[in-house]
Amino acid sequence: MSLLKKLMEIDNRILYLLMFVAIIVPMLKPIGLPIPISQYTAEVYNKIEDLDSGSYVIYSMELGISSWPWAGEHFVLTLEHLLSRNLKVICVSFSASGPYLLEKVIQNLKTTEKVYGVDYVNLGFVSGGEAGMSSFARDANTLFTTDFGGTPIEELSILESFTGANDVSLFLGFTGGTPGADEYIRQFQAPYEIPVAIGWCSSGTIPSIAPYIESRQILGAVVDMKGCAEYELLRGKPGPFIAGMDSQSLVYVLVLSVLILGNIGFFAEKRSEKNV
Amino acid sequence: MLITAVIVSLIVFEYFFDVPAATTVSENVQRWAVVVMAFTLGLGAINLFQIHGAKVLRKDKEWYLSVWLLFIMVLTIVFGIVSGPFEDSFRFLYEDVFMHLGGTATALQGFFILSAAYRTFRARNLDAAFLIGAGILMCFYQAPFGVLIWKGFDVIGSWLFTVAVSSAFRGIIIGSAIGAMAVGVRIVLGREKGLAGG
Repeated sequence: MSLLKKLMEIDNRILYLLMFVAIIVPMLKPIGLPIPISQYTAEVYNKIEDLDSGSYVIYSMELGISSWPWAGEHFVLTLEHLLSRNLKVICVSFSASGPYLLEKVIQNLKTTEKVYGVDYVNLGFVSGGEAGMSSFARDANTLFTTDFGGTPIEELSILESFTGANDVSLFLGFTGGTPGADEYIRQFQAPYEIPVAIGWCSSGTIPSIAPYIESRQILGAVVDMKGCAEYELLRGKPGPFIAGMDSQSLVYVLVLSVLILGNIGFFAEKRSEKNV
Repeated sequence: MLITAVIVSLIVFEYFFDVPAATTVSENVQRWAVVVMAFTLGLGAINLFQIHGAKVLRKDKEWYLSVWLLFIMVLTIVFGIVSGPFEDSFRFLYEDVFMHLGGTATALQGFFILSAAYRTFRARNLDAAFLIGAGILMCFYQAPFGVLIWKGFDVIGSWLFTVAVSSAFRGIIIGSAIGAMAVGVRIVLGREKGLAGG
């Protein structure tokens, strides 16, 4: 068997083993590749930095619990960033799977000086899709009698001077698609002129968000692991995402290598068929 | 269909004209929508029971997967209602099982992509070659090593994102918005028969 033929018939198990090694080795021994900060991430970070202390921010989680292993640490880091700026954070979800993830984010907060109900709150799920968003934006207090944990809203001082979108300085959405950028723009950015930013989205979602960022209807977006790593750098708190970027680089090298190898074999085979 | 047409007209009217009476009615209608949509979650659960229950009774292909689905759904509902979402039993199901299964399923995609890159991504024609070329460029743009090799990857990647992808998606967004408006007009005029199951 020729070398080329051998290279063309690598067993899947060997490929998977190579993938495993490409992920694990940089985590055990980081390479420390430089991570340039993208404009998309910088815009989100800078907007939070520019907000006045005491401003209301909507932290809207449309992702489910299965995204926790993917970006959970980033959700916590972002909430801690908001709280460190002394902002009032209204956590809410327009997707049924979001509130539980919000609860997990809150449980994992490392900051101890901020008080639940005073500095931040989890209002839970608002049903109704865009109609729910519209009602929340217009008059949020009519939609809730308690927070997600069952505490009556009268006992939550953060809500005393909060009525809805008119009081909000930033809408920060974490989305995997729908509800997402389109709905945020239609129900918050366009009617109330609230700055909207994407706190996290997957790289598969960003093509549908990019046009809105270019038109400035959305300020910026933290995209996938790369965005999370950039955010960690901006916060000066290196964590799992910066560590993961070396792995990602190595995995991309591996994917590109097998892609090129597969195509070399394809063209070689075609050529030999032609010669026959 | 008449109800839909009236409500759509009302919401559109209220959006464009500042009439207090219309605003009040529109606000109430939107609050009703929140309640109605909450009920649809329960309706979805009943629908799942009907579809998968029938599948089990008929002993259709892979009926045992439907049994498993219904069993887990009932278990989650019972744990959620009896012990509440913050108790250990519910947490076990949701965090220790579901969360890790979800994470694993996502992580496995990486292995499949590697296998697909090796076995199926072939430059068989010009379209496929363009697709592969764009994919390679995005890899160099996304990963830190790309910029280390050549700074131009960052420029090309940014251009692809902000110009090529944005303009293509802008077209899609505008097209789908016009389509949505056309459907809206058809609903208001009572010409969208599919809405009434026709």
